[in-house]
Amino acid sequence: MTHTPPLDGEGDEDPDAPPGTARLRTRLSWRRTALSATGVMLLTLKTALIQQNVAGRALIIAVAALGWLGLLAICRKRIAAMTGTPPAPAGWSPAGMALGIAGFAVLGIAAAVLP
Amino acid sequence: MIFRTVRQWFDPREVRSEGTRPDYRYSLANERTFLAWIRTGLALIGGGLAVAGFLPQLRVTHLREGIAVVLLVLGGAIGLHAVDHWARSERAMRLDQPLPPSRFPAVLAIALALGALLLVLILAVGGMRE
Repeated sequence: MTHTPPLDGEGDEDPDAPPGTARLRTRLSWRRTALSATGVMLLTLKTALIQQNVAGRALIIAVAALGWLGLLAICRKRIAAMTGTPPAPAGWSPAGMALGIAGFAVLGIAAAVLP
Repeated sequence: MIFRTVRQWFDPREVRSEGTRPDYRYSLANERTFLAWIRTGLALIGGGLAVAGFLPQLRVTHLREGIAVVLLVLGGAIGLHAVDHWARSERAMRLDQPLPPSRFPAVLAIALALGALLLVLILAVGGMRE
């Protein structure tokens, strides 16, 4: 008897599993990531409030809000592109997410270090 | 070399010109691994921001900011590592090669364990300002 082991131990690549769960799990994974990005954006706003410099504070809040909207747009676009069969390749979405994360790190450093 | 790597992150057409397209479920599994790394990076960035925003000042000057910056830099580095590993794995699957090995998880685990130990020591010796 031959049995193909699942790819990642969660079973949906099992030939007997209902079709489409790989796509569903990937979509939910993008949603979880968008949710995490929202949490980080809120924490960035909270940290920006300790800034004494009003202009710096406003700039950090504005950039954080725009960056968050950008990350949400990437997640939304990728989820929408996943409906075809086979789903469209990820394209530049991973690179966009990674740059967004790096940008939030830089913004966080500015919020934490600047007086 | 570095330029080509970075270009592959943004323009996977170059990757798609090589080899054959793997079963899309493999690509989606690779994408989920990438997203799990991204959330790990976001968690560290959130941790750094929480240290900067909520932790009281420590006795050692700028120690609080130092901890925050280390966590934030680590979070950003994880994001860049994630996309690099994703692109290299995608390429390896197309060329039917073994997935790229990485020391990054081990290094990260050790760095985080040492960092946590350091924080425990700081708290144990009363690093908080009264």
